Amino acid sequence: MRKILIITLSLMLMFSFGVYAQDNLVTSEQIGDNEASIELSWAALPYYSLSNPYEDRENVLKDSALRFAKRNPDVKINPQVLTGDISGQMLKLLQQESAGNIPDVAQIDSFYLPIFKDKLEPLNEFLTEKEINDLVPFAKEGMLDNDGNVKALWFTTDVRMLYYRKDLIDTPPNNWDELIEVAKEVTADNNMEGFLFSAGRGEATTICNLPYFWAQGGKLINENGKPVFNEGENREYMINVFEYIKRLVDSGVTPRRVTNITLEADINGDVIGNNVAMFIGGNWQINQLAENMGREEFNKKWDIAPIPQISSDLEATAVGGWTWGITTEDPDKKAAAMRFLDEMYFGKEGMKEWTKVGGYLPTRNSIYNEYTYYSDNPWMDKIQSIMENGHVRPGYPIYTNLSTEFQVALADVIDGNKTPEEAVDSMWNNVMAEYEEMN
Amino acid sequence: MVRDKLKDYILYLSYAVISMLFLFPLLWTLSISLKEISEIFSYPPKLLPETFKLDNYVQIINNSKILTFIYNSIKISFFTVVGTLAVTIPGAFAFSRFRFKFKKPILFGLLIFQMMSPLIIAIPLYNYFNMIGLLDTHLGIIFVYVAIQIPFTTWLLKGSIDSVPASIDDAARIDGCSNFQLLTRVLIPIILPGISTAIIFNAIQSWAQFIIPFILLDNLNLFPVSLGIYNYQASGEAITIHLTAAASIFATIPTIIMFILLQRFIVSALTAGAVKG
Amino acid sequence: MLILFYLFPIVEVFRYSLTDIRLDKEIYSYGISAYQYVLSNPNFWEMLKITIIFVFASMFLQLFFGLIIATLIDEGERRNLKGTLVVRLIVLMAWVIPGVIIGVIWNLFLSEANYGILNYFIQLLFNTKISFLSSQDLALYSVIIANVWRGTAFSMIILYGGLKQISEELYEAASIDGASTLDKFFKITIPQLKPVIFINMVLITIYTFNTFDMIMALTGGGPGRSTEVISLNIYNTVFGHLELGRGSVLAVILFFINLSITLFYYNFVISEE
Repeated sequence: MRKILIITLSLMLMFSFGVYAQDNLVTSEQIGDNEASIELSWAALPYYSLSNPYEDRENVLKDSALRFAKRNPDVKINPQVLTGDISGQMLKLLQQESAGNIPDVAQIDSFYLPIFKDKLEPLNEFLTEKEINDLVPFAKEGMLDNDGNVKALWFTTDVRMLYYRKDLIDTPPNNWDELIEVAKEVTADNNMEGFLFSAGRGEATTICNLPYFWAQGGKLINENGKPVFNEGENREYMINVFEYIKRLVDSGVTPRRVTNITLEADINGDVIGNNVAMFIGGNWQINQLAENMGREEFNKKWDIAPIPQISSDLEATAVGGWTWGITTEDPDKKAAAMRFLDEMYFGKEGMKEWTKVGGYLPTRNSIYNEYTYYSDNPWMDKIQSIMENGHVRPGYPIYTNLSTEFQVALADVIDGNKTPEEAVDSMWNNVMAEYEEMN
Repeated sequence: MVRDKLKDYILYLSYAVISMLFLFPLLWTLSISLKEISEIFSYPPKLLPETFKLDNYVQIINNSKILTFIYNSIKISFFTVVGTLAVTIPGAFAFSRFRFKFKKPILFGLLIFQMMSPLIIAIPLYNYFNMIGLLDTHLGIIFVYVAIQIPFTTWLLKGSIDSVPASIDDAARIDGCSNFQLLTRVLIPIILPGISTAIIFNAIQSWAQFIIPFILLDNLNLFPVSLGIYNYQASGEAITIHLTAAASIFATIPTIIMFILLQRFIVSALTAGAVKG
Repeated sequence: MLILFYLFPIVEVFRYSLTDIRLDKEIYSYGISAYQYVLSNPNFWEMLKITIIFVFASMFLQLFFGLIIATLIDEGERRNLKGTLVVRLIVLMAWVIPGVIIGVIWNLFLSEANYGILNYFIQLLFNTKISFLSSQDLALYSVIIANVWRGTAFSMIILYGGLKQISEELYEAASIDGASTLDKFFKITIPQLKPVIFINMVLITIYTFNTFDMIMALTGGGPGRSTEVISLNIYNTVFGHLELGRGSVLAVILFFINLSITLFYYNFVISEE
C-alpha cells in the first residue's frame, strides 16, 4: 500500500515538473521576466489561453507570446483562466470590477460589450483610422461607445449558416418551402434526419433562429431599448418564424428532439455519425468536424450555404465573436497591454494565426485578401458573402430576457402545447412584464 | 441451513443488480474516455471501444493541470475534514451530553445555515472575502466548506453519541476520566463508524463543490478538480466529450483510493480498540 | 466562526432581496416590488410546482433506495459476505462526480440521437424511442432519475452509518422472541434509525432544493420551462440576466420553504418521542 502511494506521489511530482520546466520566458503561469517593471494580469477563456486543452492552439499562442516577451523585456504578464461558462464568467468579471480587482486585460463576449463599455478604457490612441476602417462593419460599430471612443478590440467573429450534404443534395434550398421539399426527398431515400437546429434552452437557439425574423425586416427592440417585436408587422414576422418551425416538425423533417439541442456543437455527433442531411451551425464547426471526420471526407460530403429564408430573395444571419477589453488606467500598462494583444490576437499577423488555428473568422477585411489561407480557401469565400448579411444581437438589458422567452416559446410550439400565435403572445406578455419591472 | 445459503445468494444477486445500475453509466463513461470521437458517435453505439486508446488520458495529463487540480482538491478536502471534525466532535459531545439553555433552538438553528442557496451566498461572500483578503486562497475556501459542513456533521455525530448508553459515561467517570478523556478515550473509539461516515461525507462534499470555488477563486493553479474539469465542458468551442469523460474518470480515482485507505484505517482502528479493550 | 462566515452573507441576501440591485449597475433603490413581481408571476407558481415534484420525488426515492441498499449491505456484513465494500464503493462513485459532469454523461446516455445507448437498446427491444429529454412531460422524470442515481449514495452512507450503530443485542433478543426478518426491520431498524432518517430527509430536501448544476448540464431547464427548478432559475436570473435583487428574492423564498419543511419534518419525526 505504502509503495503504491510513494509511486503515485513521485509520478505526480514528475508530471508537475515536466509541465513547468519547458520554457522559462513563456509558461502557462507567466509570460516574461520576473524582474520586469510592468506587470499585467490577463484573463482569457481556456480555449483562448496558454492553459489550452488543445495543443495546436497552445503552440500558436506560445509562439506569439515568446515573440512578445523577447520584444518587450520590461513586461511581465500573469495569465488567469476564465471558466467555460460564459454568463457565469461575465458575472464574475462584473464582481471583480466592483471589488476593484478586475484583470488588466479581460476577454469579453461581444454581446456583453454594452454592459462593460463604461468600465473599459478608451484605446483610440492605439488604432489608426485606416485600421478601424479595415474592420468588418458590425465589429467596428460594436467596439465604439456612444462618444465614438474605441472601447474594445473585436478579434474574432463567427457566423451561422446552413450546412448540407452535397453528396445527397444537388442544390441547397433557398427558401423555407424548398428546404422542406429537399429534406423530405433526402429522408425518403436515406435513413437520417432531414434538418436539425438548436431549440433547447441556450443562447444558440436564439441566435440560430432569429435570422428568420431579421431577414423579413423584423425589429426586436427599438432605439430606446423597448421591445417592439409584437408591434405592427413585427408580430406577423415573428408568427411566420414559429409557423415555419411548426411546419418543420409537423412534416417530420425535424425531429422533436431538437428541443434538447442547446449548442450548435451538439449537432456534431449526428454529423459524425452520418445521421443528418442539413443543419444550422456556426462556421467554427467546419474545423471541428473536419478534424474529427477527416478533412477529406468532410470536404467530400458537406457544403455550406446561406440560411434559407421565407422567400429566396431574402438573406440574414447572426454574428457574434469575442473582444478584449483593457481596464488599467496606467498609460504604460495600457500601452504594454495593447502591444501584447496586437502580438497575440488583434494585430494582422496575430489575428491571422489565431483565427486559422481556432477556426474563427478574422474581423480585419484585409486578412481575407492578403493571406492565401483565406483568399484561396473556398469555404472562406462563401462565409464572407454570408457574413455580409450579419446581424448583431441588440445590446439592451432586456435582450437576455427576450432571448430566454424566445427559447421557451420555440419549445412550446415544437411540443405542440401552444400555437404560433399563442407562443408569440405569451412571449410578449412575459417580456413586457419584465420590461415594466425594470423601468 | 439451506435457507441461509439461499438468503446469501439472494443478497449476492441484489448486489449484482445494484452494482449494474450504478456502474453502467460510469462504465459507459469509461468506455467513451477510451474511444476516438468518430467511435463515440457511430451507429450502432458500441459498448466497448474497438481499440483501447489511452490518448485522451495522455492529452489530459500533458495539456492541462489536472494533477495540480487533483492535488488542490485533496488538500482542500483534507483540511476541510480535519477542520470540520475539530469543531463538530466537541460540539456534538456537548449537544449530546450536557444540558444548557436554548439547546434545541441552537441545534435547529444550525440547520438554517444550510438553507440559503450557496449560489447566491457566493456573491456577498465574494465582497466579504475581498475585504478581509481571503479571496483567491485555499484558506478562504476551506473556511467556507467547514462552515457548510458543520451543521450536518454536528447532527450526525450527535446522533452517534446519543446512541452510546449513558452508563458507559458513568463507568468512565468512576474510573476518574475527565470530560476530555471521556470523549477522546472512550466515546471516539465507540463512535468511529459515525465519524467515518462524517469523513466520507465531508470529503466528498468538498470534492464535488462547484459554485463556491467558481466565484471565489481566480488563479488557475488553485482550482480544485471539479472546477478544472469544467474547462473541458466549454461553450461548444470544440468537441470535448472524450476529454471530459477521461477527466471525470481520472478525477474519481483519488476518491476511490481515499475510500479504500479510510476503510483500512477504520478496520485497523477498530481492531486496535478491541485488543486494548 | 460559523456565524462570522455565514450570518453576514445571509443578511446580505435578505437585504439584496429588498432592492432592485443589478450586477451591471452601481445604483439601486429599496422596495418590495421584486417580491410583488415574483409572487404575481404565473411562471413562478409553475416553477414552484416543478421544483416541489422534483424535490419530493427525489427525496422519497433516494431515501427508499438508500435504505434498501444500506440494509442489504448491512445484512451481508452480518453474514460475512464478500463484496459489500465493493458495492458501497460503486454506489459512492456516482456521488463523487461533479454535478455538471453527471449532467453531461446522462445527456449522452439518454440521448435520442443515434449514439444514445439507452434508446438504442429500447429500439432493439420495442422498436421505438423514448423522448427522455425532449418531451416536456418526460424530461422532469429523466432529471429525477439522474438526480436519484447521483444522490442515493448520500442517503445510503448516512443510513449505513446509522445501521452500524444499532446494537446487535437488540436483534439477538428479537430473534430469541422468534421475530421474523421483516418484523425486526420494522420494529427495531426503522425506530432506531428515526433520527438518522430525519436528518437524511432534511438534508436531501435542502440539497435538492438548492441543486442546479446537474440540471443545467442535462436539460438547461428545457424543453421550454419543463425542468426549470427554482435554483436553476436563480442561476439564470443572477448569472444570465444579472438581476441580483430578483435572484435574492427567489433565494429568500427558497430559504423559507426549506425552513418550514424542516420544521414540519422535525415535528413529524422527532417530537413523537
